[in-house]
Amino acid sequence: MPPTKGSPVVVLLVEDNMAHAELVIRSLEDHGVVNQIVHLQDGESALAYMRRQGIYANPESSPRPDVILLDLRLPRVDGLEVLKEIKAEPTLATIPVVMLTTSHAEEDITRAYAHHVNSYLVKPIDFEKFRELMKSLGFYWLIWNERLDGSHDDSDRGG
Amino acid sequence: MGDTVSGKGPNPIQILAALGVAIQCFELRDSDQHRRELHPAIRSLLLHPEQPGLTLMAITHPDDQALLEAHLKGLEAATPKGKVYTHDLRLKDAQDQWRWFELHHMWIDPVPDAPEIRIYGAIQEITARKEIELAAIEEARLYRRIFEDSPIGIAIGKPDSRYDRVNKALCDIVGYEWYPGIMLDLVKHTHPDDLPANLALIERQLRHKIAYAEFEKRYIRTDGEIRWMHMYGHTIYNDQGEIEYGVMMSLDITAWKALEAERLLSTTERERLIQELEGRNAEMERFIYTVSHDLKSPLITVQGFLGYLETDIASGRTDRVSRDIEHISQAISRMNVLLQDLLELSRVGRLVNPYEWISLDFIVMEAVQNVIGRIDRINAILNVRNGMPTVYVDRQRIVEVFQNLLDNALKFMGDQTVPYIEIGADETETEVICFVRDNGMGIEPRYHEKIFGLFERLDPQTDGTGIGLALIRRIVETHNGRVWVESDGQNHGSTFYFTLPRKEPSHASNER
Repeated sequence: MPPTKGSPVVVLLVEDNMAHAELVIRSLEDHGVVNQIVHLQDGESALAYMRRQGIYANPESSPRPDVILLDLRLPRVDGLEVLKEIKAEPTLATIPVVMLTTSHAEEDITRAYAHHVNSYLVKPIDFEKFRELMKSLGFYWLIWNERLDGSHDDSDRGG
Repeated sequence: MGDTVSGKGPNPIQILAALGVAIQCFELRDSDQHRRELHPAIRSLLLHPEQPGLTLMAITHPDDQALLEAHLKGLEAATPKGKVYTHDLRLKDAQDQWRWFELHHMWIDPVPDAPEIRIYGAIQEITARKEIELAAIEEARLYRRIFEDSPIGIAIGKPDSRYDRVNKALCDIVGYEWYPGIMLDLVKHTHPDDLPANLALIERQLRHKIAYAEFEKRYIRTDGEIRWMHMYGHTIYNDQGEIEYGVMMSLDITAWKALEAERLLSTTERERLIQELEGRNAEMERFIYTVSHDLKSPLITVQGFLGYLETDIASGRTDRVSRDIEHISQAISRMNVLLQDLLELSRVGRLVNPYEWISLDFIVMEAVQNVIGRIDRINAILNVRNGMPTVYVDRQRIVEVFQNLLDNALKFMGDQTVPYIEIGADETETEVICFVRDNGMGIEPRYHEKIFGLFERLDPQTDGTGIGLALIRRIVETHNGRVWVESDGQNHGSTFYFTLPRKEPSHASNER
């Protein structure tokens, strides 16, 4: 089922584990809730992408995501730091950030919410539950949840 | 006999004047008379009735009889002319009351009209004065005893003298044998560290007439032992308000000080242990958390791709099957490596091989042998310094450290076309600083600390568990050393340093 909004639905997945990234991408694609998934492997690139720096300068090839799926433990700049930076920038803060991690740690959950994470999800080990979670996640954030049209923000930033 | 002086001999008033006696004055014919009978003048003074056999000795206080005997003997001896004998003694009056008298006798040359009179005497009652005098003597004796026998050290000094009168306790404190009248220069026995403050205090006391001060200081005893004192000092003024004496009481608190120091030490030691334990607990918590997190990842992969494997087979997507299987097998082998590395990490500090003195040359050689294949494969130039110092280490562990650092250098060469690795060691006074230098991709300064954390990896593309540097740090720290990295950042190469102490570590044994 293709998204009904005018602009294509873009998900930014920040995940250093290639296998996990593939599982997430396949699950989301199975349910047909996205047009495009951008996968980055570390926090530094994620921030560069969001800020349209370096190789991500072109808005055509680096579209603004409708939702960011963020792993917690990332090389170079970790997920929490990425979250903090995004939420600190007014033009980026409106994008929903969903933590997608293996960590149940109270400390991680608390800190993520303290930095205004929109949702905190723990990856289930069980395959069916994993797929179910990805399906719910896709429907909730990309279909049922009213998205903010990010194109205005983009033009404001002047690319 | 026994008559008062009549017209014969010297004028009794003159004699009295010469003796300094104003009242109750008598003249005695000779000394022997005292032994035979009580002189009428004394008898009438004491209001005793005349009775035969009553002698001076008989009414003398038993304690004073020896004195009287000596007095009489002195008279009976051929004494020099003009010599005056004076003694205080107690005599009993008619009411059986003891009263104090001052007895004066003077031996004289015979005079022509009374040649038998050889001795003049006078007796004066001094009961009231004597009682005051005795009370004063008792008072003085009491204060002398308090001073001399006090268990607290006491020193009494005058402002213009460096010598103090000291009591027995103070002599014990500074290590002298006490004798009456001993004077000591206490400044000489004061601990040099306490002397300036001590002298300044005395100076202030003198200048500002401070009446009282309390402080602590140390005396060094003659045998070298240090004694801690709690001092109480006060000053005594004369009627003009000038300082006459300084009195210093010293309470020996050496034992108490030692206890206090012990208690302080045990408190800080306990706090240190608690902190260390808390640190270890926090480290353990972090460790368990990271381990569980990293072990969960491959499980998710295995479960996930098993699920897809099933659906892919069912839907005939055979093109995907091999990829699913590859993911599964990779996750499993990754889990295997992870467990092995964790096991290795847990062994450090738990399993300690015997420490030995060994040249770093041999250790590095062994490490290089283990990675020689990979050095050849990328055509790296390896420069190992000769004649490196000998160290006292767990040989196998330090080989591991060099091997891991070599591994890293080889792994992170980046696109360096002329890979170069240098290994060496420098000595300082206290430690040996080993280093492994490369001209590879380098590490940005902001990651210099982070990379030593467990499971920390900078590059998701390179394989590895992120345990290597954590392991190195563990090993180096169990050798009481430090590890750090220096690098000017991206593509500037990096140098890893670690130190080893130059003397034998205290725990260098086969402990488990």
